[in-house]
Amino acid sequence: MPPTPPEDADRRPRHRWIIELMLAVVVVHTVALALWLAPSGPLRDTVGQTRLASYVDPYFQQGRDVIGVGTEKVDESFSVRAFVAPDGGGKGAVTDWVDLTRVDDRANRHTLAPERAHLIARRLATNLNLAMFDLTQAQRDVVSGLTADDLPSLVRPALEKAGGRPGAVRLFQAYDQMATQFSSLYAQSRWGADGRVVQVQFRVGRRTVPPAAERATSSLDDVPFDDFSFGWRRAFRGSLEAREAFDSYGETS
Amino acid sequence: MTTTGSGRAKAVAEARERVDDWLIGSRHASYAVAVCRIGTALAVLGLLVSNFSTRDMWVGQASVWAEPARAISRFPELRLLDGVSSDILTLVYLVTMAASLALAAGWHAKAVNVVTFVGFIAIVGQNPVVGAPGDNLLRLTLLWLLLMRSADHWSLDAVRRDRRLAAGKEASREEDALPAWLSTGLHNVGLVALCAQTVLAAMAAGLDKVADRAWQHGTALYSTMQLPESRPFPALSDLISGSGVLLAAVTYGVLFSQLFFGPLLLNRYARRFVIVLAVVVNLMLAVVFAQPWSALSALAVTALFVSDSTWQHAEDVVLTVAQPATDWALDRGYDLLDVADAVRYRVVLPAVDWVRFTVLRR
Repeated sequence: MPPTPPEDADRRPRHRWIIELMLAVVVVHTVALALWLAPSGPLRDTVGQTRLASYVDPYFQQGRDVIGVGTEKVDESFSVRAFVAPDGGGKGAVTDWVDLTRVDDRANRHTLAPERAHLIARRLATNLNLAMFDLTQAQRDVVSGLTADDLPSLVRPALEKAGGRPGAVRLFQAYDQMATQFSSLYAQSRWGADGRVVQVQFRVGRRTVPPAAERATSSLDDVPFDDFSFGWRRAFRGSLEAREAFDSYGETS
Repeated sequence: MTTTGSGRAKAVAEARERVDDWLIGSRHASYAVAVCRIGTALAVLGLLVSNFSTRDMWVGQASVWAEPARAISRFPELRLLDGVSSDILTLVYLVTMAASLALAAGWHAKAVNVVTFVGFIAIVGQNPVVGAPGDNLLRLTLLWLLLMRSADHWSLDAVRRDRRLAAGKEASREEDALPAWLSTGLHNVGLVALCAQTVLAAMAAGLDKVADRAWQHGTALYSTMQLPESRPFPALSDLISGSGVLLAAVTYGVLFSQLFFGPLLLNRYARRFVIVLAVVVNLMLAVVFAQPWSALSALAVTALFVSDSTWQHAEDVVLTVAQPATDWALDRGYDLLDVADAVRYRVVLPAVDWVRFTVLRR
């Protein structure tokens, strides 16, 4: 590597504080990260979780799972069906359920670098499951009874009236909207040729891997899914580009 | 009292001198940083290439459904690609891929590092729903690489610099933009930051695991390998999860390579052990859990802890081993040129003459 020229060496004493200052910044930054990643303790509590989060998020965000593999033991499913009305008029029909997580599993099998598009259904299921567990039982009953005519602006007061935390309601509505739009775009690519997709319905399931000690007698396939049911939702149309992009995804199912 | 005070002041001044000498004297780990640049850039490139065909679903117009997640996200860079057409997305995507390829090759490394960094954030941050933990590692590594002189070795920049210096010209305006002491200081500060981040990330992951009952009982990997999304190669997953010995070996390997990563770096021999272990573990995770790009980004930062003398030795070995191959390739290249010349004189030129004299004359 090239040596530092003599004229720079002469200048070093005057300007070295710049590098020293940068090193000090890096040391403080590293201490903040160490506290953020450290288990709960007196020093971490003194600084405060909120203060640490305000520094680390969003630019230096990193969790305890950026390296290596995380621990998972819950299998999840995300299934979709639609109510399709024939283009020429007449009575519409409800399609069969399609489990998109299984579709993605098939697409990812024997693939060393799976596409992120084939992770979407599972992530939606994970987030919807978490959002539903954040709701109270009374709120879940409201959710399962929702119909396509229930506007989100009216659903929120109904859920808040049923108890629970307002934050949980906001989170649920965000993921409900994502699931509705994703399901609608998928339904149009899958069943759009049969007519107009008027409404969609999705359901998410979860099941836990049997303990390792029971591996000789039971496997994950023996465990049924526990489903959360959601009412019907009015189909989201989306742009032509969005629908076309979904066509290739729909073809894999 | 005064003597003690002046003694302390002297000690502090000496310590400061030593720190300054380390920081400003010369650039450290320049080979290791070059490996980190190549690995990180290839991880970005691999991620983008493997998602190219479904980019519209992932981050384009068809990811419109992820708008609520984008609204919650606090990353301002998301707006760079928010709502853009498919053509603009493809353009940004291709530019970022080209920049990451150039970064791997070390072609105008500093400039393409900036482009790769911004493009990567813009693309990956566009869909927070399917983000991966490894994305953060890549983003932060690209950030710290911006401070470093990552193209001093194994790069097209280095080749160009050597040629210019051999011809008696200055290295390049790009490299001389900053005074040498500042450039060296920034490089070393960035190196300290990235190494500290890597050690912290590894140890935090290890601490998190030992606090988890499933890892304590050695069943964590078993459970994970039963899930359909975590068993892309079912036979391989069954082979590992079905054998208690293999499962225990992998579990201990993961824990050791993370929990003791920092402490084991302090000893020369232990460092070799933990680096080799981390490489093996990451290669295994890349295949078993189909996480090649996250694993490659982890390998890239692990490479920072391999000494420059080891990398130089590796370079010598590769060059020695590759010498016959490069000679053979050059010989075959000349043979190919001979064949091309023969074809030109025996087929192409007679055909051209035939056309000129028979067809065109009519």
